[in-house]
Amino acid sequence: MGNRIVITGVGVISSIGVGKGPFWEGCIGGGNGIKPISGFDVSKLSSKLGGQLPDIDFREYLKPANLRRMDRIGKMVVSAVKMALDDSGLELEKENPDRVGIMVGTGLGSSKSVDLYYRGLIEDGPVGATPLLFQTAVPNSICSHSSLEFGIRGINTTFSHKEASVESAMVFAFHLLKRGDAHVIFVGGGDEISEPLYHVYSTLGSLSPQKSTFEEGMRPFDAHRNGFVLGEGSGIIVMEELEHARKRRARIYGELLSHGLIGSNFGVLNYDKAGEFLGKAMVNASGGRRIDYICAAANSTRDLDVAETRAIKAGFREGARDISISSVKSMIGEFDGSGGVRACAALLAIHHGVIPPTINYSAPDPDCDLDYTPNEARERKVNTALLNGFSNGGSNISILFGRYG
Amino acid sequence: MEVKRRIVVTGLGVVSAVGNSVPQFWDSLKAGRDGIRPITLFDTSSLRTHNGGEVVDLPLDHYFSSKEKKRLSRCDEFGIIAAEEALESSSLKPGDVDRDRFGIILGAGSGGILSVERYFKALYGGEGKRPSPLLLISFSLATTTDYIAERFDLHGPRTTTATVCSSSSAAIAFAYESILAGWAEIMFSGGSDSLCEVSYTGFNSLRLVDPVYCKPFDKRRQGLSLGEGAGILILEEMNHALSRGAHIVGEILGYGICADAYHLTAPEPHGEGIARAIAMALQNAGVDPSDVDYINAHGTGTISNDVAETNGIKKVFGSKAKSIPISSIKSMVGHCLGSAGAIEAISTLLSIREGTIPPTIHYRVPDPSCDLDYTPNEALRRKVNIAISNSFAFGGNNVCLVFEKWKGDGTTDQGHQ
Repeated sequence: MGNRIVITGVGVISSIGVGKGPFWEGCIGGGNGIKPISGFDVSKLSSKLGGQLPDIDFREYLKPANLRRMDRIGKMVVSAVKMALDDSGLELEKENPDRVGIMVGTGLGSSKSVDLYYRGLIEDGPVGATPLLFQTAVPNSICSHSSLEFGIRGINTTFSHKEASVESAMVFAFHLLKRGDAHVIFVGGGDEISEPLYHVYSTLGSLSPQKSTFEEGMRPFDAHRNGFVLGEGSGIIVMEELEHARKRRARIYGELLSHGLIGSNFGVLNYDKAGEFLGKAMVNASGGRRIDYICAAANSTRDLDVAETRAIKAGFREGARDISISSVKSMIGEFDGSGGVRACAALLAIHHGVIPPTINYSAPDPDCDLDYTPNEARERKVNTALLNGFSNGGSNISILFGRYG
Repeated sequence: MEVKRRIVVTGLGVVSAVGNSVPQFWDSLKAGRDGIRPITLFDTSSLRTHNGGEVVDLPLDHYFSSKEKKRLSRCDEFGIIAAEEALESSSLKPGDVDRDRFGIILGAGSGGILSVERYFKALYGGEGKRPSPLLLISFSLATTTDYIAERFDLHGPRTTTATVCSSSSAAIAFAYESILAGWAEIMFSGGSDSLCEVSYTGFNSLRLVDPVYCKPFDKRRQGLSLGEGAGILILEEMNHALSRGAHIVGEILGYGICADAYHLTAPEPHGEGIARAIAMALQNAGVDPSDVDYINAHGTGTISNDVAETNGIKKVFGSKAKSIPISSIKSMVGHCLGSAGAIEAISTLLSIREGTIPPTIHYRVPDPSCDLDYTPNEALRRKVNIAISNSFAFGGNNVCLVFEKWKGDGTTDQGHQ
């Protein structure tokens, strides 16, 4: 059995709100973070939209001297760690630093640093190779920045497995905390939009059967969906061993109860087959419990929206229609490390008893016929919430959060 | 009381600068063969250094169709070839395992960036031609993991670690945990990485590359040599392996992972974080420091790593430190970043099984601040019962793995509480 693991802090930076309060207002207000891309030229690309963050003055969260060594994704994630830390009320100086860890998931990490570094190299040759950029370009730099910033000396690792990156970190953090290897682990991650990353997605998107144009925004589960819009953001949750949290009278947002992990391989997409695998991940995670809310992985591509719908039906059968489902990605866009932000949404849904909506939903798709909480948030007591992280290519992770108490 | 599951290694596969199969690799290591040679993959003429542990003579046509070769990155190719060898050496047959309980966790470093570089070079460099979007498939570090999973139709837990220099050791640790936790019976683990311009010029820009070849622990050392390749291990729950009559290479007893919280690239000089990772690993494995027979070092050959690692080892092993053979195979294969930990884990397991410790080559001038036994230049015949393998990454991310000799009957007298 092992220890029980609860979540005692959340920190989030998103295109619909920076900080827990504004983010949650954005969620329940059906905020739309998707806008025309600014900062680089997309005129030659088929896609024009993105879920970019507003300008953020990171000095609100971190010391200016320390900010200098970080690139943008570093600032985004470390600031989210700081918010989560403050929210949790933990006093790290009173903790054994070896029993506090950080586990992060990111798809590309510092893709902007990699790009700047590489452009310097192409334009100026080896003298254009900038050591400061290179050291932040490694994907684990965001974890390193966090451990340096807060003196976190325990377990420290980074996962990068597409859309299941953060969920991977959550699964292993849960396992280690249960066994008692640590008291507290900061878990989450994020990704940033950068020009090359946008270029890659846009170019590869044109390879997909949907001829993704991104032009209509994010419309998960909607018949008029047209592929996903790239987003960015960071989210961190504080996972803590229950007794440790109780002793310091921490506020508890919810409990991480279990998870399911299933790999799948689809040369040619087969919705029923996909549904069977994704459904297995959810069934393994729910362990027979009734599920109130599913924070869906659906990303406005036909493949995933339909497969996830089939999976929910395959997994929960007649119960599927009683589950409130929503895709927070409708508001913030799709990115590999979105699991941290979406976990915050799922935990706040449990905490406040409100389900965030799937926005931009207007035309029902006969292949997606469940309750997707269209356009308006809904009050509902949430005892259990599944967070789905289903990666393109086949790592499928479903995580079950429950109300504590 | 629940009995703790035990995890053994039942298959190995390697691609490296000193051999593209386990037998070739092991022969080279025992002979102290140097794999550091002039780089041919990209132009190094305007750089300060020109050598690396480049993989040569890989029989790609034997493994891949021309269609596959178009979409696979060099990193994918290494990983798949090593995975094929590992699977073959494990003698696993299709019916031997439930696919839902056969997973994969690999470590990544630069991943398929070499392909992505080619794309952006054509795009930004204005060579006129529109580059093939197929080159971009490799932009995700998970690509190699997914290709191997697809090739062998694995449906178990799957993820990719991305701590670069320690990635594949962390991957082995988490694959071990996945079996220990009961989520899987068999896991592919390890890592793959290929040389690329980003990492090659990057380590150069940090002045961390030796202009000629790396000389770990030697007073003349000036930095690392970059390498490339793949190391793939098959981890299996012990009873599962025994019941199918598998040939067991060795056992994984445990691991430690922690952070220095000291500097973005440099290790904490006194080896404080390194010592914590080793101590954590030994405690997790239930092994007393006095029972460790061999240390496969991170041993990059950088000025700061080798001193920090030496100091860390002394902190844990005290007066016994001088009597434990240590070696760095990076002196032969280079620092393979995302696959370094896995290739070294394989070397460590072979040392345990074969009773031979590979040397640290190019060792000539002792450094007073590196005063342990680094197995200089000549392999050492020595019975190894328990060995550890160290891997450290930027940001002071430290990983240590603990392995034990397989005694043949599922019972051991060491390492189990």
